[in-house]
Amino acid sequence: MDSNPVVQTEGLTKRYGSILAVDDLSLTVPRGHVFGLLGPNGSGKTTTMGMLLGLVRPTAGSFSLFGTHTNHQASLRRVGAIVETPTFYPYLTGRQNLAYFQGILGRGAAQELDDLLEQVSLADRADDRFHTYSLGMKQRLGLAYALLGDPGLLFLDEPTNGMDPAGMAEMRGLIRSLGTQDRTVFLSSHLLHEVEQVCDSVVILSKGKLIAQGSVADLLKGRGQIRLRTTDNAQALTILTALDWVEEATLEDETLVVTAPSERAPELSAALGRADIYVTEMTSGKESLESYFLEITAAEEGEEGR
Amino acid sequence: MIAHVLRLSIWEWHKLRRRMLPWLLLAIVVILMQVAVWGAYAVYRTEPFSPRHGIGIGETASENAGENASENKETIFEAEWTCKDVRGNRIPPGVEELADEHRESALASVEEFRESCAGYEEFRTFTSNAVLLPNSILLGFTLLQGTLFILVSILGAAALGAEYGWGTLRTVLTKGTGRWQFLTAKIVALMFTALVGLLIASATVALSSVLIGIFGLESETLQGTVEWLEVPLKIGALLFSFLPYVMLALLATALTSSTAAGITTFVVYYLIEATIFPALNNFDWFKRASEYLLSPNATALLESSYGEVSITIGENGDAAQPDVLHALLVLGAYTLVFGALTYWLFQRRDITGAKGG
Repeated sequence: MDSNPVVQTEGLTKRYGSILAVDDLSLTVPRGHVFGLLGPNGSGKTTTMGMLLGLVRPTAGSFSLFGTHTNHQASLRRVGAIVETPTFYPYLTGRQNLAYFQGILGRGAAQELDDLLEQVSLADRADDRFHTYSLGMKQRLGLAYALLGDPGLLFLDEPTNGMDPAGMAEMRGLIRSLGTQDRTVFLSSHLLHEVEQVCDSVVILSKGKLIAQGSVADLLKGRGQIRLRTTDNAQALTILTALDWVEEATLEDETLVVTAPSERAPELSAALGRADIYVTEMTSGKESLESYFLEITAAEEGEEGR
Repeated sequence: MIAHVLRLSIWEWHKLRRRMLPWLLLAIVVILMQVAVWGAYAVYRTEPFSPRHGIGIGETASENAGENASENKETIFEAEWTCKDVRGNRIPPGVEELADEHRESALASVEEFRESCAGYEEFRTFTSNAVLLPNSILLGFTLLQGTLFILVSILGAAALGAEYGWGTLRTVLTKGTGRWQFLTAKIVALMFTALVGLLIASATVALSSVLIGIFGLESETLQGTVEWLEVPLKIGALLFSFLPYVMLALLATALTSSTAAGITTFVVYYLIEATIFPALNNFDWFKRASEYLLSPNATALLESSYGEVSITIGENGDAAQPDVLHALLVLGAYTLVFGALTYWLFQRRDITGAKGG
């Protein structure tokens, strides 16, 4: 795998009047990854994609695609993208739309269209006009469009939007298979379960600012939840709260809920044992990306509110 | 780069010809062109504009004398001549039976009328030529000049405005198409579409002219009085005149990201030129300024190549008609200014999602 970043931004900023949509964003996307861009609505995900795709002019900062800061037009010819809901010419069929985009790209053969339509399971509706498509079918056509010309970088903004559960699972598998070897997938989604399943690394934005960045495993490392019952919950709560590696401990319905690395569960048990408190029941689990996301964005908003 | 723009233009043309709108606009042009040529033929055949000459001969008998005298007029003969009668040397029935004195008076009156028919006969020769080729094609373009400006501008505004409305501009530009290249391709495709439209409309008029020439005229030839070379010259002049109007429509559309606003802006501008400016021509200070407006120069350029098919439509005060070079320069300047603003706007503005209109 090439270690050169395929996307790199430095101090990327976009301001709409008094609204700061993206604030001094610096991020690096390595080649061959599925990279997740997360954030609540209005956090600047689509604006960031828009800037990288040359649709939105940055107010400040710079970025490079495939290592080049100049000639973005040439770089974009190696990029495929779906931004928000895919939009195509309503009076053309799915196949005619793809043929048009293949034509203006200036490369590819008719067979490529058939293959792509097959790949996104749209072959049987390919000759129907785009305006007759459901939202899920539009997403599939959008993905076929994004894959035209075998791009090295894919920007996918909410690609499972409007799909049924089976379609979403199929799309997840497809995205996972796309982000291999030389191709990089830059995925924006609010479906955190989906992101957790397919992304190697993520960036979390809140109000245009980068608040967390790293691989999913690293972000969740050391973050788990241990639930236990003891012979003396009140005393146990005091002991656990005092441990410096325990982030939080609460008592919920006779159950102690401890936020701490799940791999340190035996140490919890030992600490309580030294105080003659015995664990009668214990379960541990890793924190999900969703709970991590909610926690970190809530904290960011709390800081902003102060 | 040229190959890229050419490729984009070809695909823009493919896209445009699959839309309903260009065909609808073409149908309007074809219908109006047909109305022009068949209308001219109808005028030639039925002669609704022929001057009429009435003759009345009577005798006056006086009753009573002095201040209370009253006159009774008794009509002896009444008739109406048309230029068609004069052309056919037809004497209205009853003239021969008149007394010598009255017959001579009636025939003298007809001779006077014959002289006044000369102007009408020129008009009739014009209409008979107008329905023959290639005069008929030029006649259609002359009569439809203003309509063509409006239709081609609607097509321009719709071609760009729909990209904003459907949100497809974003889909196109994220393929590395390039903004100015895309806009250039759109303009090339629009002008090519206009050219194809004019050629199709010309072909339908040609067909009608042949039919009229064979079945409707006593003429021995199907050839009108205008040289065929004037047809491509006229089409070239029309296309050149379209450019500033198309650019204005594109500028308004790029400014508002909306087809409706683009068309409205163009139509308002066009109507102001067509209604307010002629009125202002009554003021000396405005006459010079009007030489630099779009419509007078477009009209001057087009009329210069109509030759004998030239028809003046409407009044333009007594403003001097700009010469051809002046018209070319002014239209070129408008195209450059509107074009530069359109490209500048299109290059700079952020592209967002579908606007829906």
